This record gives sequence, C-alpha cells and structure tokens, in this order.
Amino acid sequence: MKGKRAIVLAFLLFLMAQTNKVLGQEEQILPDSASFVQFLINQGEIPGLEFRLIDATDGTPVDSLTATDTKIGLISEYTSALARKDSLLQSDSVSAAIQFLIYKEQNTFPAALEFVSNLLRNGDIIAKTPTNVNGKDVISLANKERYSPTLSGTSAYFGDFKIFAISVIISLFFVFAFLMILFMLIFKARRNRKEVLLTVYDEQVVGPLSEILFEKSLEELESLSDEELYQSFPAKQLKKPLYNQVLVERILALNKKMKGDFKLKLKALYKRLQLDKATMDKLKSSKWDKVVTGLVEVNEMDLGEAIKEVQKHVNSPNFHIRSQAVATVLTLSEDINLSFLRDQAFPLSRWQQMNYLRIIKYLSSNRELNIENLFDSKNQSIRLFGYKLVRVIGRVDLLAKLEEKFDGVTEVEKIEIIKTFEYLGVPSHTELVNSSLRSENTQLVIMAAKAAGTIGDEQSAKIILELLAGNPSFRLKMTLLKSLQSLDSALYTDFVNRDSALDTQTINSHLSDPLLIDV
Amino acid sequence: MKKILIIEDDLLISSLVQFRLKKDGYDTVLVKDGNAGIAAIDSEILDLIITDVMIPFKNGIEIIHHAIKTKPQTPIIVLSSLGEEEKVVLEAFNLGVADFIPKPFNPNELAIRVKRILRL
Repeated sequence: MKGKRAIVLAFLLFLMAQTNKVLGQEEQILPDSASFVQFLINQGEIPGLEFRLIDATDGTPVDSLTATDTKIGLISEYTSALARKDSLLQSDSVSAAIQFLIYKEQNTFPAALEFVSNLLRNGDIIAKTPTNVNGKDVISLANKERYSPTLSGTSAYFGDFKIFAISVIISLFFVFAFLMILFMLIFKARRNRKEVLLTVYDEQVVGPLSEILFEKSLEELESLSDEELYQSFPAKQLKKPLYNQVLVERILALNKKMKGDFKLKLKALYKRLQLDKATMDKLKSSKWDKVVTGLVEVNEMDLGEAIKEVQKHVNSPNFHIRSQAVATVLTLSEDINLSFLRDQAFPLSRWQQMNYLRIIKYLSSNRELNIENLFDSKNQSIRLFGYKLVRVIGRVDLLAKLEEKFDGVTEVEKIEIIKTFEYLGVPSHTELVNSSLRSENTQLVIMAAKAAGTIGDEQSAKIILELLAGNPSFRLKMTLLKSLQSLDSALYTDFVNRDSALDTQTINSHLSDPLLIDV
Repeated sequence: MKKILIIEDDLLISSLVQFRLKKDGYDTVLVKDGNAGIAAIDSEILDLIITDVMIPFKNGIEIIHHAIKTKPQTPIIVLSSLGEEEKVVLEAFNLGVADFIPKPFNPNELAIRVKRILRL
C-alpha cells in the first residue's frame, strides 16, 4: 500500500512540476516591459485597453480634444499616444506621460501588461506580426543566398555534442577491440612459447635424469660436486622457473612410477638441485594452488624438514590446502598424537575421511596411533571419524573407552559407536545396545536392533519382543525380526506363528528364503 | 644385436627403459602410440616387444592380438599400472604374453627379465 501511495504521490508531484513548467512557458508571452511596448506599437488597437496623456508632474489629464479619438481624451492606439506625447513635448514643452486605462479605469503599466497577456493567452486577440521594414520576403531572400553553415570545420564537430559523443563511443570501441585482439595475440604467443619451452626442457631433462639414475649410485649422487651436477643440469637453466617446474614434475612422476633405490636417488637429486627450497617457497605462497602443489611435493619427496611449515596449513579455511596438509602431516610426521587432526575446526567430508583412513590404515601397521585423542575433539565429524577408525583398523582395545563415552554423546555418535561394537562383534557391551533399543530416536533403535542380532543377549530378545508388540514401522519390524531370529530362533518362530499380521508374514517369508535373506 | 620395440606414451618412462636396455647392448625402437606400434611390428624384425596397456589409438590388448597373429614367435612384456583392471592383465596372460611388470617398477628388474626372456 505504501508503495502505491508513494507512486501516486510521485505522479502528482510530477504533474505539479509539469503544470509549473506550462505556466512558466505562458508567462513568457510578454516577458518584459520592452517587449510589451513593442507589442503595443505593432498591435495597434486592443479591445478594452486605452491610453490617456497626463502631466508627468502632477498627474492631471492633458486636455487635447483634437488629438484624441474620443471626447474624454482617450486614445485607442499606443502609437497615437506616443506621437501625441512627442508633439506636446515639442510645442508646449509639457512633460507628458502615458496613462493606461482598462475598460475606462485607469491602471498601472504592469496591470496593462497582465491584461494584454491574458487576452493573448485566451486567444481573444491575435498578435500581429511586425511589418517587414524592407518590404521583402525573408525566405525568398534567403533562397538567393548560397548556404554556408554558421559553424564549420573543428568548431562544427565540437559544437555538436551528439556527433562528438558518438565519435568518442565508436573510437573507444575500436580501441578496446584492438587492445583485446592484442592481448589475445600476446597471451596465445606466450602460451605457445611456454608449450615449446616445456617440450624443449622436457627433452633436456630426460637424458641427464636417465644417466644419473643408471650411472650413479646413491652415494656417488650425494657426493657429486656442484660442477659435476651443473654439467648435467646447467646452473643457467636452473635459474629459470619453467625449467625447474619441468624438473620437479619429471622427478615427481618418476618417483611415482619407479621403485627400489631409484626412489632414494630421486629424493637425493631433488635436494642436491635445491628444488626443495622452491617447494618451501611454494608453501608460503598466497595462491592456494601453489600451496597445494608445494604440499604434494613435500609429501612425494618426503621432505621431513618442511613439516613445521606444513602444520601451519592443517586448519586452513581452504579445503584443498587443509586436506593435503593433513595428509602430508599424517604421512611424514613421527607424532602419534593426532592432535592436529583432533583440533580441526572444519567438518570432515567423506572424501577426506577416505583419504585419511587410507594413510592411517597404512601407518597403523608400523606404529600405534593415539586414535582415542580424536574422541575428545570439539568437532563432531572428527569424533565420528575416530569411532570409524576403531572399527576399520580393528582397535578392540579402545572399545572400553567408547563405552565410557557412550552416555555423554549425541545420538548420531551413539549410532556410530553401536555400529562399531556390532562390526567388531564384541558381546560384552550388551547394556549399550539394550538401552539404545529403548531410545526414542528411530535411527538409533534400528541400529541397536541390528547390533542386537550380533552382540545382544536374552534381555535384548525380551526388549525386541516388547517393541514388536508396539506395532513398529515396517523397516524397524524387519530389523527386529531379523535380530530376534539370530538371537533366539524359538522365540522368533513363536512370535511369527502367533502374529498373523500381513507384514509379519511377508517378512517371515523373506527371511526364510535363503536367496533373499541377505537382500 | 637384438632389437626391442618399446610402446609407451610416457616419454620419461620410455626414455628410461630405452636408456637401460641400450646400456645392456640392445637395439631399441621407441613408439608413442598403438598405431605406430602396429606399424613397427609389421615393418621391423623384432626380438621382443615391451608395451603399456593404456596407450593412444590402440590399447595394449589390441597390440598383443596383432603381434601374436603376425609375429607369434616374438615374446611380449606388458608394462602397466597396478590400478588397471585385473581382467585386462588376465586377458593379456591368456593371450600368451611372456611377462607382466606392474608400475611402479624398477628398471633394473625389467632389464633382468628382458635378459632372461631373450636367453630362453
């Protein structure tokens, strides 16, 4: 409503502004006294307007019946009044003034001006055009003259704003188009040059790399003098970033595809060529892609001395930096504490969990990591990851700690913990399962029911029967019946025989079918 | 001098293998794609073929098929990543390749296997 009112108000204001504009234009008919006098001279007689000569000193009318149009000394034309005034001045030296009368009533000059303006505005009189003093037709005269513009050359160009503006726009368009083409050409030329250089450097690098890897032992490689090294990889070339980039990429690619002492040689060569310094510089870059490249290089080339710098990135807001930094610290750090992972502020994605799991699983074969530290994280996704690790790595020794934590954690975590107990199949923690079976959270009950089938006891079977009596949803009923069948087949058969409900019979036929039981 | 054909699109790997085999006194022919590989099999007199599985235009299995059909006496070594499907490796063995070397590999180990195959 307010909007509509504002629009109406704005429209009215607009109309008022327009009205003012129109009135302003009307007032321009006789803008000043000079134009009014000129109009009176041109117009001749004006209905309702008359003139009288008065004495300029005392204002009394000058009696001159002979010069007036009427017997009371009124003059109908302004030119006549002017002529009379001049003759009086010459003959009698009387200083006369012209008085304006509107419908016989004496009035002031402005009043007369307003009166005439109104007549004109209302169309009561039509303004006469001034008589051509020369008595010639202006247009015909103009036709005889050869046309020449008032403004010519530069002044004509700058004098016309529209032409100037269009010219500027067109010029700018051409300038921008030219600059764009120039930019594209330079960009393409530089890219082509880069590609050519990459190929050239590739060929330059392959030979010396092969030679060093096959001709030198690890000890020989480490004891090579700078001069010997620069014979294979010229110092001048090593100063070029693109050459270094090719060298780094090739060494990293070989490191992935080679095995045995070749890996050690490649790592030694990486350090001898001081490529590790370039890697360290990348870690300090403000560009995230460079930082990630640096982290990959640290990881691939086992640059343990860079670990402090890498640790600065483990809680980076950038997903890629954070993921790669954590993976690198996991791989290279001797620390078994995992505190850097515990203190992660950002939630772990499934991809990150997979990646870290792969590394932790590998590390677990060599050393025992303090996975329990992850249970104390303020980040729920880290705690959940910790519970999953217990399950996947098979850390049965941590189940007691999970049991301690169970009552104080969220229901999502309870589901994960029960899943872990069920997966590891430890039957000593039935209390957790039984208490969860009485939860109000359906997902937790389903998980607990599933776990009860593996690690439940007689109490679990009783609770399951209670739940079945409460007419649960089809999905829960299916899980409950499946678990009951595993826990106590006699109770299961008894229940199925007693309950004639259609869904119970359907589930029973499904569970009884050896082909469908695992579907 | 025994001649070995190397079909590998990775310049670095092929150069390393070539360097190592030349060091052992073998003559090598290096090609980067499947079409060039088949052309080389048809035109050259070869003692051994070393091929990658994933190469441009024609894959390693097609190369093996062609080589067994046209040069049944020439032994073949397949060089490939462990990540590649098991069935591809099995198919290669079923076709009758002499050896399979998974990547990452040690070029010295490859050289020993080449020596063993060529002595047989």
